[in-house]
Amino acid sequence: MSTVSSNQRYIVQVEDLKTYFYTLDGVVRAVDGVSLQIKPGETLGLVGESGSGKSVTALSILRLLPVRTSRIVQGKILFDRGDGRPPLDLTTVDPNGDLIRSIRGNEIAMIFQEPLTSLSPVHTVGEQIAEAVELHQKIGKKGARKRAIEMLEQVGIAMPEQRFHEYPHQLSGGMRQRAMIAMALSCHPSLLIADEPTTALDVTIQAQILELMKSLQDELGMAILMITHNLGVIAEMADRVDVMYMGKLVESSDVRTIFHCPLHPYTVGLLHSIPHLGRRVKERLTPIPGTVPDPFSVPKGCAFYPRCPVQKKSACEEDIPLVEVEPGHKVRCTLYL
Amino acid sequence: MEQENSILLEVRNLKKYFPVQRGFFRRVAGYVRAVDGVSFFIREGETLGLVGESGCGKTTTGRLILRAIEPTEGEVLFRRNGEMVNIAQIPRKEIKALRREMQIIFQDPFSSLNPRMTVMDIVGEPLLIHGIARGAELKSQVRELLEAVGLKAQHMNRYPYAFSGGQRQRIGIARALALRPKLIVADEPVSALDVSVQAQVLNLLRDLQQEFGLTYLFIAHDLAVVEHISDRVAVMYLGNIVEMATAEKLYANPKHPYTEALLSAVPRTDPDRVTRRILLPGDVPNPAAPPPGCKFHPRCRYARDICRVNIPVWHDLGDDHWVACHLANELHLAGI
Repeated sequence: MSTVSSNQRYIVQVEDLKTYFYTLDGVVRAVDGVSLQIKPGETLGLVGESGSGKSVTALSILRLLPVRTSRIVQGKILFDRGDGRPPLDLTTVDPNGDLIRSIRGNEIAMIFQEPLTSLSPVHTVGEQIAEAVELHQKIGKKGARKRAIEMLEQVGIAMPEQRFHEYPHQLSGGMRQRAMIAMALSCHPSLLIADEPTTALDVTIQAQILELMKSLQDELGMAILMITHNLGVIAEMADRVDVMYMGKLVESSDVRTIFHCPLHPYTVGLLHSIPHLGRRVKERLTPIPGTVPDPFSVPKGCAFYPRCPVQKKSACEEDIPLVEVEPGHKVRCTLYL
Repeated sequence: MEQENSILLEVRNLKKYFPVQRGFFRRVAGYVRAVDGVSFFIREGETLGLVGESGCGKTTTGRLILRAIEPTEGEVLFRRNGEMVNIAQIPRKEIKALRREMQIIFQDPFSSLNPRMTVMDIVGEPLLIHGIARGAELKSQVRELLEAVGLKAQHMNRYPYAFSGGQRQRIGIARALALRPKLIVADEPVSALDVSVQAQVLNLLRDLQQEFGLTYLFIAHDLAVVEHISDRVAVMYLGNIVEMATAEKLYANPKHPYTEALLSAVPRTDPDRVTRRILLPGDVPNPAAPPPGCKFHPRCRYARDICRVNIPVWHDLGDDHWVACHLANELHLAGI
């Protein structure tokens, strides 16, 4: 693990996090030793296919996982509240207590993939935003209402006074996502977690939302944890990228390095398997063979080993550390040990 | 691929209006113009990509061609035994025979396979229904089909739940191939799949096209996927095709402002290639009450007075580049 220099401040520092689910069919190691850091104002992209553990990582930070079936078995989530005190370890906080509630939606906010299921259908959009503001900021009912309208305006919703009184079903998909962003940003969080924020949207609306997130980030200076499987969105938004596969980080670096000189065979495979827009030569795609393994029987050692096209060694079946091969570029692969 | 190949399917002014019913007596209050006068053609052995955003009518167009739903107006001409037959007009009892010529692959590999049927039953059903094979012959044909799509024949007695998303999509493809159709309508066949599996299915579709001489109508919203798989591409907006050309020309040299905006909106997979993005204001209008004139004019940054009044004509700019825009000859639009 990298050591933190004294002047280097992180908003969030996840250290060796393990979040497991206990089901009737066995234990799922959804997050299996993930470490990541996000600096103030930075966008960290977390890439991976379905089941790789990206969403569980995010929900672990917010302590939003079901208490009965899941547990953070190991690790730390250090959150710097910017109050001059040492960072708070979120894994030790009561997931239903007042402390986490004062952080959730206030200092750390989240936007989800499907805005229709994450907004309440029986409250107007405005009420929902104002509720969050009223809860966290001591500005009273009128102040909260005013802030909600301001936020709706800021995310580019026309006629915000009128939209305030509309229900989520009256808005289009893009507008709902804007409303959710308005709600998430209404308390000026220092960290925004965006879990597939544009996956359910059309490309032209996606473009609007991504531009909006970028301009609001510049304005408000928050850090973003951007979770997506869309490599185009990552290329556009992220400063640094962490690639996840079956609960583990396999590669971590700045965004240019990930796209121009990726090292892990999985990252390379992902980049080769997608068609790139505007590439006139219609060469055959090089898919990654096989499929994502069953979460109950993840291969030992390198989970990608059975699908890996590169020469295999016996060392692949043992635990492999995440190694820094060049400054700021870490890979978990026996090729680079 | 070029001019020599004969046209397999020609669609002329196809329309589908869905009634909007209101109130206790379900009175018809208006019509959603899902497909509002679409014309295009597909040559034998080629892939026509149909792109557009949700609600633009691309899926409805696909279903109209298969006559899974009845068109309101228009012609769907399909080459059968050397002559063009209007599918939109043939009697219902002949539709079954038509299914041998054209098949569909669905988007969702989970809901499109009956969970209570084995793979053998699913892939063999079309062969049974059409009386093509029975018993041992049926089994051997299913085995061949499964092998053609890259599945193990010994898995044919399993149920769909035992397969991953990519494998299920292969089952769906085997079922579509069973009757050796000429035309396959592939409706978002890879959008529900993981990135690493998408490429497997795209390659498979290409291989099968060569092996069986298939013609595809490939419906998708992912512009990179469509560029990769298609010979020609048609772009739909609010029930109309606004532009159609070869994939190279459409992406490099778009002639319709909507195509230009759509292309500019796709995030590039290269952090160094900054796009000059054209942000379309607002949302797609309600298809039950589309704007007058050119339907795109309220969001078009080049719109002039004529665009607000007159509906643009669908015309050929030459070289098979079709467009419906008043300003197609004046504008210089940016491609990729």
